[in-house]
Amino acid sequence: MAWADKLKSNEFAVVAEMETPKGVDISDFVAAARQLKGRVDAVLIPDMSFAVMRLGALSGAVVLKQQGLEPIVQFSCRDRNRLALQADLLGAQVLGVTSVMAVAGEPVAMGDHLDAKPVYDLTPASFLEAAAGMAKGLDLAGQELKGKPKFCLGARIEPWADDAELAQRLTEAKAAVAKGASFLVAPAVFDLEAFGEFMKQAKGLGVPVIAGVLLLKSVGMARYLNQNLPGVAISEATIRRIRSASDRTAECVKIAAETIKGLKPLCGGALIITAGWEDRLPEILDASGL
Amino acid sequence: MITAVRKPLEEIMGFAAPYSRVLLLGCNECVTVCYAGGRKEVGILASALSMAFLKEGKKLDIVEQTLERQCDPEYVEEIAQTIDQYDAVFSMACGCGVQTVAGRYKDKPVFPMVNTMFMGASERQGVWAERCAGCGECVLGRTGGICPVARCSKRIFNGPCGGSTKGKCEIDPGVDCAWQLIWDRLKALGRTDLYSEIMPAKDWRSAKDGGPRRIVREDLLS
Ligand code: SF4
Ligand code: SF4
Repeated sequence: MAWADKLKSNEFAVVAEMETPKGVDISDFVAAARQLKGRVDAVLIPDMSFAVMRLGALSGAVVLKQQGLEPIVQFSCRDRNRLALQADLLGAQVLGVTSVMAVAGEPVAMGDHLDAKPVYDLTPASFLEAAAGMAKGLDLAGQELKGKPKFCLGARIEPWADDAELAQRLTEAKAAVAKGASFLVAPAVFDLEAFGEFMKQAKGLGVPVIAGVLLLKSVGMARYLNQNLPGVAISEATIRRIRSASDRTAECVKIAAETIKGLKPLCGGALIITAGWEDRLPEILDASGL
Repeated sequence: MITAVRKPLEEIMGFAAPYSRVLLLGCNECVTVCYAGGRKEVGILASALSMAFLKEGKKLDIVEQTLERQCDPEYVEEIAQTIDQYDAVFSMACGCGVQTVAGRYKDKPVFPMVNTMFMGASERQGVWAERCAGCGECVLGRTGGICPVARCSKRIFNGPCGGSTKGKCEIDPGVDCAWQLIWDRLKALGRTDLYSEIMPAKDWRSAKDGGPRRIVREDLLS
């Protein structure tokens, strides 16, 4: 089913995140993709997340499409100006990739090309505007396009650290929906109860919210996230559970699966993020009963 | 110096609409030198504003004052005693000055009266041109004292683009091609060897691209 149709179906959507390889050897990427065929509704491809240079997201999307998967491509505003972003939106369309969303992009200082010049010409909000305008046949300069592209647009809800920030995020999300976003991707969930409270407010946004499910890999990672990611509070109970498990990775897979199951009654879908451990995706899906 | 030009009167009138008494605050430094926000310009703007308001049958009380430097907390302190008399401050300084005043007097609205333009130099009476983009890693020593970051339209390195024609930039025939200037100067200096040395892809961290910058001089810290 096309991603746009899945969204309309009101069924719980399962999305896997897959990073493109750093290089041209796509064998692992393709192998991981094959394992997902028929098991996920879409695959989200980040655009050089954390400013690490790698195979472009759109190229990755085409490879996934060839494998029979439904790609959602991220466009980072960090690396391209409005000319390039619009050109690649057109490119995505002619290559059959219609589901797209923009992200601001982590700062260059986090990545592996510290001396690069970032762009940030458009913001995710103005990207939505550009894409919505293109769907009406006009580019950002008001020039007419030959053939109108048709997109399924998404937007990210950035993390929040407190209620004041949450209100701001909800306002941004509302604006994104008004600008044409038909799905929203929420930050990784570690506390289902808190997320349930959030969803009470987010339900009114009127489009499916796809919640992040980040596979923890170790106690160290959990502690790092607690300290460095706004709004992340992985409980001591969870950390203890990982620490005392005989097979820690299996325990982490279990935790992710429990989160996915817990999300089912709460929101529109889950985005499973394994950050380099794409080969674990089938295990997580098995454990989630998906 | 930092160059600026005064904002259009209509925009300033828009700022003034909710207020009845404002402090019009000039700066004695860069904006005085480029005739945008010094004592003289404070006087000119005050009269223009008063007249425009009178024409509309309204009255705006404008008090004129000019500080030595608005980007220096020491001088900004000078208005501490009187600031409460005003509804707002209309700053004629560059963006640095406006922010220093706004940062010191947090409950007072502060509005910019000028559009801050660039770091430049005077070419002749009445003409200023951009000379430095503050990239934080000066290459003038290799480019004959002419800056490719501030003066080349594409900010490119290692020679001109294909659009350089008869010494002019393709962006506008009225704009000199920076790389033509660099080449001519290096030739005159007998240093074309510098031109042949390929400069590696620039490290933009030291420029604005690495985020907001600050200088900390340990030896001067109190
Ligand atoms: S090279 Fe950098 S520091 Fe030197 S003049 Fe040009 S912009 Fe300014
Ligand atoms: S013509 Fe010269 S100044 Fe203009 S963009 Fe090309 S190299 Fe730069």
